[in-house]
Amino acid sequence: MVRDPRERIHPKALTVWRLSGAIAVAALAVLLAAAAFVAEHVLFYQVPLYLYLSVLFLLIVLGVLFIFALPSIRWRRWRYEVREKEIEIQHGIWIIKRTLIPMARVQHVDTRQGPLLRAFGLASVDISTAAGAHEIPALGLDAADELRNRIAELAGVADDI
Amino acid sequence: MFTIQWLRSILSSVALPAGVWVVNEISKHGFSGRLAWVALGVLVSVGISVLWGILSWWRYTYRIEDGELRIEHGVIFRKKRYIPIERIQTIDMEEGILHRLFRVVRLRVDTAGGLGAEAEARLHAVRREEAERIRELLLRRRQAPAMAPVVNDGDGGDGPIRDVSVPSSLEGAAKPGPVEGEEVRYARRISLKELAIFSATSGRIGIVASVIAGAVSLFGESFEFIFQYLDVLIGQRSVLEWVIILIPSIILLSWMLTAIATMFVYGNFTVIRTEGHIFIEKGWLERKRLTIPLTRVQAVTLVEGWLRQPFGYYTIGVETAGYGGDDGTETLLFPLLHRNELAGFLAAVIPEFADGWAKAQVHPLPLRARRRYMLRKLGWVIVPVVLLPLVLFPWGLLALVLVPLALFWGWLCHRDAGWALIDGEMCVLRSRLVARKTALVTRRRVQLASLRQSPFQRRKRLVTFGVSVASGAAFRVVDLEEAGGERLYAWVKPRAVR
Repeated sequence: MVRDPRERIHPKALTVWRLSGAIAVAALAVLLAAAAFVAEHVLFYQVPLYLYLSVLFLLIVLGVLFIFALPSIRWRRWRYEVREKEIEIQHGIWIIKRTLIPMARVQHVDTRQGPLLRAFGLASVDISTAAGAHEIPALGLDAADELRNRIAELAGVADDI
Repeated sequence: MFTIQWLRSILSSVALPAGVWVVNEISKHGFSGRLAWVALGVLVSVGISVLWGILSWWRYTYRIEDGELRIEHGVIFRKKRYIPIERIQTIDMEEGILHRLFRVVRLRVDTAGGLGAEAEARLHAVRREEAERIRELLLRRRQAPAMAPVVNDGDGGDGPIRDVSVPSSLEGAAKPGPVEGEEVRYARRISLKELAIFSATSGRIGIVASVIAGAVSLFGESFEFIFQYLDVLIGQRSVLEWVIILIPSIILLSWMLTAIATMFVYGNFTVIRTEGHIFIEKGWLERKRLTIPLTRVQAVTLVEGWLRQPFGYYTIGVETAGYGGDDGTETLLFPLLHRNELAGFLAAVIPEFADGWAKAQVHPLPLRARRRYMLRKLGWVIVPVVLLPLVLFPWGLLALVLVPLALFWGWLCHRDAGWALIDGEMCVLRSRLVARKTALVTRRRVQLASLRQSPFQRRKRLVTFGVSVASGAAFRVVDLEEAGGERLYAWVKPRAVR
């Protein structure tokens, strides 16, 4: 396919994703442990050993995936580029998706920060068109503001062609 | 207005379910003391809804003040909606059966909403003269929000109408020939034959069938005496025979009901094109009028239903931004049109898109994509095909017939998919799920375009291309060749102003 978009998102995004993956897997583990506890001590159902082992195995697999493998693939694939007349975004782990947004169609641009991003000094940029919104996740705070301003400016002058 | 509110609130909220329940109860227990309680309950609820109706009517006011249409309503929760007149895009009038009885209309005011068109106001029942007066007032303050004319030939004639006569249900009010300074360019009313074919082949019996089946099972007890009666009439039958008789009857019944309902909803369907707007009117009992500013049309869809395609019939729809039709943002432009008339119709009603049909040379999908299409459809049936023979041996083996069917369906979808670019201004995307759908989108309307590729697709140099328009609708072609996808993608990019 044609040349990839040029810019990458902030390297700290990788850490953020790993962290959220770890939190998700940990939460799942806690949930399952609670379920096991309830089963054993409240419902008096003896959970067989093989069930414990296979769940543990599953958790390990998920952990490796969501903490190590997937975030780095995802980060490597994430690209964007803002040109005078259009914005291009490319991302995806298995299926690679590439989106083109003509600058004239951009309705508004926002920056957004959840608690996790804020802790790392990152923000994401949301670009809205009449057909929906697109997100560039995890840019440095300054970079995000700068990008937002730049897009807003370009979108303001973009000719409707 | 008061009476309408009153009647509607009773009917819709109470009477129907109460009536159904009463019938059920009576058939179960016969007349008894219980009935007295039931009657009391019904009376009380009717009384409450009457009271409520009166109150809501009392508290519903509207006025035009300071350049705004101001509506205040609500019994417990007061709501105020102020709409600046400049923002008003369309003013429509609708009539339900009750409205016709009392000679009032429902006035509907729409603004230029974005995706969720929220700023919309409805005056549920105003006298016709009053509606006209409001319209005049609003028009005087801004540039022609188009008011849909009523075309009433009365004979449901065939073919194009050349002269649009005086709206008979808006007597004495509007001038003939519709909108403020906009002359009629073209008008077309659906013929009875087209309406009949459209209603008979809509293929939507599924919903009605399930409703009927549900009703039968729910009130089965009440219908026992029907079965007993039938038993006497036809003679005793086994359960299996009853089922065999019942299922086709339900299907037949639901088909007839949907066809009739469709005819009522789309009766006298008329399309009128003026300089800047498209007006659509439809309905035998309840007449609805829609206005579509031409500038709002985002895309055009030409759908060939599986029952209609063999005969060359198309259903034409438009995607509009900020103004919805019946469901969501796709509006039916014309229910059924034969291929022969398609080019002329498009050129007259939406000329911007006419080339998309006339000049399209659709590129088909490459052969290497065929297997993927067939496998995808096979995936749909894999569960029943594997499970049923195992569980319901030996009758379950019948499920195997789904395999060649699914493969054929996949082959068909692959054959029908395609794309084309026309004069650099329009793209044509064609695909099939059940019906074959051709989407025409102009470049200026594309909100975003996307290319998707999975590793399997990359190996075969295939890609999936999609475009989205302002209404939120998306059209895509799956598994076209990489080069074609890139061409389409590049086509979306804005160019320097010429």
